[in-house]
Amino acid sequence: MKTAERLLGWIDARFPLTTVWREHLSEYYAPKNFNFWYYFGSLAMLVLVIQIVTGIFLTMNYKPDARFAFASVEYIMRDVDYGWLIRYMHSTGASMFFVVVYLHMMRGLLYGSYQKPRELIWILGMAIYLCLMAEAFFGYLLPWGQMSYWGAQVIVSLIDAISPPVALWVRGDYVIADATLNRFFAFHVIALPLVLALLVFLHIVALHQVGSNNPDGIEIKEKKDPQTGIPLDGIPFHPYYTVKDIMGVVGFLIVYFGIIFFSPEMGGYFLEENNFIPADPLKTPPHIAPVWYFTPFYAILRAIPQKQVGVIAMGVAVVIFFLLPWLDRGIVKSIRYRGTLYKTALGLFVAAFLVLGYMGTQDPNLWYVNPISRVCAVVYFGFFILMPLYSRLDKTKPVPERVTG
Amino acid sequence: MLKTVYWISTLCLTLFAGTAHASADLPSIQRGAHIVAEVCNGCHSLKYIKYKDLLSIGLTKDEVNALRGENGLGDSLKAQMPPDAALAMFNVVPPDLSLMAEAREGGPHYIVELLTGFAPGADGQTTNRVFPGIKMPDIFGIAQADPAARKEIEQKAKDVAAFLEWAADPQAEARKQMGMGVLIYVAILTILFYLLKKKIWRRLKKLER
Amino acid sequence: MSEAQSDPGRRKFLVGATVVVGAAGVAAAATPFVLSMLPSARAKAAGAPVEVDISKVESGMMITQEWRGQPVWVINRTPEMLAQLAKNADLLRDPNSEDSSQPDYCKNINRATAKHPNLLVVVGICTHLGCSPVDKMKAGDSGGMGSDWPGGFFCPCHGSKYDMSGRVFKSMPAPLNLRIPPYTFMTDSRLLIGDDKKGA
Repeated sequence: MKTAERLLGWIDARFPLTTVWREHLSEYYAPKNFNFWYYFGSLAMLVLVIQIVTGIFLTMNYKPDARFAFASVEYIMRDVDYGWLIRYMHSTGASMFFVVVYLHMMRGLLYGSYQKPRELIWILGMAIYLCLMAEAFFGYLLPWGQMSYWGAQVIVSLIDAISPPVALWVRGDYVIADATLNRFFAFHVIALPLVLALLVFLHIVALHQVGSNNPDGIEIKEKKDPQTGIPLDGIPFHPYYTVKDIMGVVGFLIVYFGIIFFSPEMGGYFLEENNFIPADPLKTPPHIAPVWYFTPFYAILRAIPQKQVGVIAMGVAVVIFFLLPWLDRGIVKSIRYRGTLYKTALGLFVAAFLVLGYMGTQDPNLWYVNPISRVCAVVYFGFFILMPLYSRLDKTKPVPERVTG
Repeated sequence: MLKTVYWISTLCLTLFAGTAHASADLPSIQRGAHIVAEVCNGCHSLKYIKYKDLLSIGLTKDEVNALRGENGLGDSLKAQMPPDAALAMFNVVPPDLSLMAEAREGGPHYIVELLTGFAPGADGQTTNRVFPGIKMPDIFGIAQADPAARKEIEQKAKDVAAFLEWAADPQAEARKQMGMGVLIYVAILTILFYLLKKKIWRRLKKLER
Repeated sequence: MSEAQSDPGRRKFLVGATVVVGAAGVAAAATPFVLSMLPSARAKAAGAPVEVDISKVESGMMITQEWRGQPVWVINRTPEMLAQLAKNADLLRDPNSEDSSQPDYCKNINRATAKHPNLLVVVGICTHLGCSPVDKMKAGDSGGMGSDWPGGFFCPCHGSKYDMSGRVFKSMPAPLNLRIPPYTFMTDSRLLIGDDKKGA
């Protein structure tokens, strides 16, 4: 179509449309051996878009007022046409965001994607993770159920343990109140989504500057075709990974919609029972637990008897991830070529993380919760603190010259 | 390996979803509606259910009119006892029941256990084995019931639980129906994109360097 | 972009089929979001037809009933007011209500039903920019409208004038006659505004 060509020409003279298309899609070369672990980045972007769109529609009917918030959610569920669908998409999306992001981070750990020259991508990614945790925390107060209220009360009281004036400033009142709800609404709906969108953009720019890592952990840019300058093991992102990522999306949607339509509460893990009770400042539920995606860190907090040390430990547990590029002294990137020492350490870390997650859901008075949490917390921190040592001592295997698929 | 795990678990989930589509027992829900509106509404409100909503579970207009009395069709099911009177009598305001089936672990099952959980206690007072210290009286009288009456009360409890399950999530049936269609569609789309992906990736084999 | 020469026909079919099925899915996914913006059950309930007791509305009197957040006037016109209507044609932009909004059974000079020609049921909102006109039902100069005023309504915002059938005068800012909502008489003393399924 001549008109289409002329229109494109008009745009290209004023905006780098075709340039961007080539540099970042049709002539952006990604390693050809991406496996299952490589779906989760694009899936994370998909879930972000889903959360924003469903969030916009929820905001049309939600009322951020302590008197009306809970009832407005029931209004959405019962009276707004398809309101229940939009609500479940958003609540399921929130949990799926963390499933996807944790798997995405795991890919980084498996293949050393945080190592030079990708440290900045990792730092930006960790910043995204922090913002995501905050976004989820602020969003969880909005339904104004018992768990919303008391979960917020507990977490803000941790800030109180470090600095009461700061906690007062965060809450805007002496306890979690209407003032808190309204400002958390502002953070959740506008402030953090803007920050998240910016960080995701920067994360991808940083990625494209260096190019993706791959399951073999070798740099494909080191072996280029002498004539074309194209990496020998690279393939253009479009059409290969555009089609593959869309396939990943629809595969993901099976799980996503399966949950939404058949079990949106997920046995009380995605929508907790206590949150179907309106917030009551005078009545604490017997068992307060954060949503599942925070439970590993909650378990670490509770494992330490001294409250302030516990808070700091919990904070360090999250932030220590930032240091990975510098803690890892390994000479290979990918787990495929690491030795037993490193593989054991990583395996123990993952096990500890999962066990801590489970412990975080349990009643702390049960006999096994504290001992197991403490052991796992030691393993957790040990993974990072001892890494400079074992990553160097690790007996690695020789890496291949070209990717192996 | 992860790919295999993913697809197997998705398959299991889909099968589970298909079979978990337990149809609602409408007559039980209707009986429950009558019991709740006639008995439970004495002390408990259901502020998110309106009288006209009862038409959608198959109660006739006459039945609904009989249940609502002076209240309008568009009014929600209020407790007959005002909250302050209840507070004075029981020391606690009886909780609203609209979401009770979702607000307790075990949902409808919990409700049945609670309603049939009253039994004579050691000191002659009636206690509840599910919720010791509950302020609610043994409304169906199961603590003193003979085996025949007991069976009747257990059925009533199931009916109440069925109704409250509906009340907490009136769209559950419609949602599951829609879900079947959506999952079938997404499955088809996945197959199509899988074939398309394979088609496009075949070009790579030709250009193998 | 290098093209695979394997089987262009089949490839095109697969791409085409996938795009079509995918597009259908996108449309289906967008639908609940669009539909969610329609009036909710609560809005529909609040906008439901409303019953009015008109037994006490005497000849020459007007009452106002809120319906869908708007003022609806129910006016019991006197025989003199009705007689005046046929004489107003030259003053009016749309004497036969060709362009204006009313149910078919009110498309007449009285803008009322055959059974109750005296009762005018009209939305009291000016068709210009939405202000509510004031009562100037009395003919003549008493309301400051001039001695040849036939009786009707006057909108204070931009000066539009309407007669006792809610028909707009010529050369007014308002383009249309006042809107008549659907209505029906449940009995001679009970009026249902907002619903006319039983016919008028």
